[in-house]
Amino acid sequence: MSVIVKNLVLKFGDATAIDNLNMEIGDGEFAVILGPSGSGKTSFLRCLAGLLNYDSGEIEINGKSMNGVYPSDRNVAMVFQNYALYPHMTIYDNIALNLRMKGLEKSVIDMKVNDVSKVLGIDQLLKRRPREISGGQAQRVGLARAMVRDPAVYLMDEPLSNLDAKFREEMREELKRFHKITGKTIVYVTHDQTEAMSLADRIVVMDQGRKIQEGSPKTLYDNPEHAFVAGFVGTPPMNIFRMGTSGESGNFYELEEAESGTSFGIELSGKKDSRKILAGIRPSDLTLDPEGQLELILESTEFLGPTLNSYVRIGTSRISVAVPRTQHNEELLMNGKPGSKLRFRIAPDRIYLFDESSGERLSVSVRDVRTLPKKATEIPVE
Amino acid sequence: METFNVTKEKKKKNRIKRVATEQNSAILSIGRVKKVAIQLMMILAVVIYVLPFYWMMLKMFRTSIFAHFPPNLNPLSGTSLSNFVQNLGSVWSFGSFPRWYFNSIFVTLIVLFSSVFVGSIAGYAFARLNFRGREMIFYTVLGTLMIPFPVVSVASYVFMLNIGWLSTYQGIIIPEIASALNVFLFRQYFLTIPKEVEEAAKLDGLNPFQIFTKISAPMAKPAFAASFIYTFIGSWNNFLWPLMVIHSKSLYTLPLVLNFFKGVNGIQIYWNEMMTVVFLTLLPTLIIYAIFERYFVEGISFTGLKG
Repeated sequence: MSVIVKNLVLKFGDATAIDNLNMEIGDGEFAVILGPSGSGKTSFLRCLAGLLNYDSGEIEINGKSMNGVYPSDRNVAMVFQNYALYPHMTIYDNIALNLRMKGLEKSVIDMKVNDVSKVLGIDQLLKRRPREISGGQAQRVGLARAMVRDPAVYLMDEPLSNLDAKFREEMREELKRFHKITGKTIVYVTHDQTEAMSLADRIVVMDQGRKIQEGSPKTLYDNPEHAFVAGFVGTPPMNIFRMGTSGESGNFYELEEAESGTSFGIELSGKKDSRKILAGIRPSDLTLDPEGQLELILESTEFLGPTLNSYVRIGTSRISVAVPRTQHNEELLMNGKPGSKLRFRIAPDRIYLFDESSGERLSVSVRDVRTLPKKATEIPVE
Repeated sequence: METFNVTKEKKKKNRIKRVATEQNSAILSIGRVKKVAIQLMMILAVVIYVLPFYWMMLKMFRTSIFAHFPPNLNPLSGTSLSNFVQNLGSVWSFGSFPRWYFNSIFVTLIVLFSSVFVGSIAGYAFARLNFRGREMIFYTVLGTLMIPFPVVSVASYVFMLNIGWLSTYQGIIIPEIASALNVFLFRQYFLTIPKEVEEAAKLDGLNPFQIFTKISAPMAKPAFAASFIYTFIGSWNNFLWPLMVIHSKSLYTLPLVLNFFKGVNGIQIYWNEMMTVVFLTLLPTLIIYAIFERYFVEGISFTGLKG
């Protein structure tokens, strides 16, 4: 194991930034810490780097306890979101500083800096200063500065988020290549789930200082164990509905928000002891089908090339739908009038159920889905 | 049909263009008037600022001790380089002028380097290091900026009297070796430097002191330039404090010498010699200005202070 974290707690005054975090990251693994801002992911990375002192717990890197070890003695290197290059030094000196601090010989430093900058394609920039290069080049220099030290673990703090969209994808590819070349452990922090999905061997989802779920991108997508993960991973995000039953428990739950108009309900395979549950449906799991169980009202459609992203409504609930671009689908969704009624099919076993208060995944499955007739108290829409 | 549309479109565009240029020329002529007015004002400002220098030059190239009134029609009559050399000679041999000149340079150099050094280190500590009571100490230091010097001058004088530092170099220098303004200026500048750069340095193996000397201080060049310039001018021109603590003539600094030349009893003012002393007093400032002209402007725009 390259990085082991045990019961890590970090507090800022009264606020808990990291709440009892446990984690193990294997050798050569590309681990992505994914979470919204304020989830404690960057604080965690800074704890690993030794830039923040945590309140309790244990961090081991390469089998050595890191408690009280100075950042430069941890055998880690960090790549920063805003590059954090030394503006008064040339690119060469930026990369060479660490080697100079180690007291290496000039010829050795020269060789290492040249090697690394050739691999990253910045060998033409060595005489320039940070303000004379572009953002993408600056991030490559940041990477070179880390790489030249040949650390056991690379720590990356949203390294791509200051780049523009097109270049970000290019750099993503390069990071993958970088990981392949070096074969080193990378701990990568981001709030961008697409980035996490495309880069990670393993994703650790964090929210409010806690680890919510970890696993491969595929596991997180197919088997979210928590409503937060379900809503966070995948584009467009999963539709999550609050469903309620009439009694304190039951096996039939109906959409809560639908005060007017049609609604839908789900029948569970077993009885559940709670008044409310959450049901999640992936936009791509809904298919257009005249025989489908759900009658939905079209609002708008975005054309994204191979897929069509539509927003539809049931009662007052908005649902996003992603269907492949076929002539049939295009006819219905692109040319259909807003307000027209469409039928969609959902396989009952593709509905995810979560506990309403804890957000955790429920073990019961859905047996049947059906659209419910208009309620008696209904006020006509439009 | 299509071509017709195109030409119509073109005409419309041309019309829009024409209207736009007409408006532009109107705006331009207003702009021109504004420009001329600004230039006139600037010429006036230059005249106001240069006139004293011009007058100083006229006097120091003459041997006559009188100010002419009404002025001679030919302002250059009676001026010559040899007169200036003669004035220089008499000033230089007056009293212990070389010693006074040395006093000024000596005091200013020590005050300059210590004040900038203390200011930068303390400012860095207030901006970056976490220690108990940091905010309270900082606001105490800052608070001293609010108190005008004349208010504390008497207390400082009594203090110097009690420790026997009146009429000593340390009496002039020590109270000036740290300045709250410099501490404040450096702290503000260091706060603008991204923390990540220093964190990167930590990961690169620099200890906190090396981070200061190798990373943060070089990045704070504008702050250093500004504080060098202001501290120099402040110390070189300092009059009130030396006047209070120095009672023996051998320790006089140049502003005191100037005061002396003004005429102790006000009966006779030797304008030619006084202006030569003024020139000698200004000389280092002028040299520094010539070298650091760029930083003067930067310093002013950075601190928002007036010179």
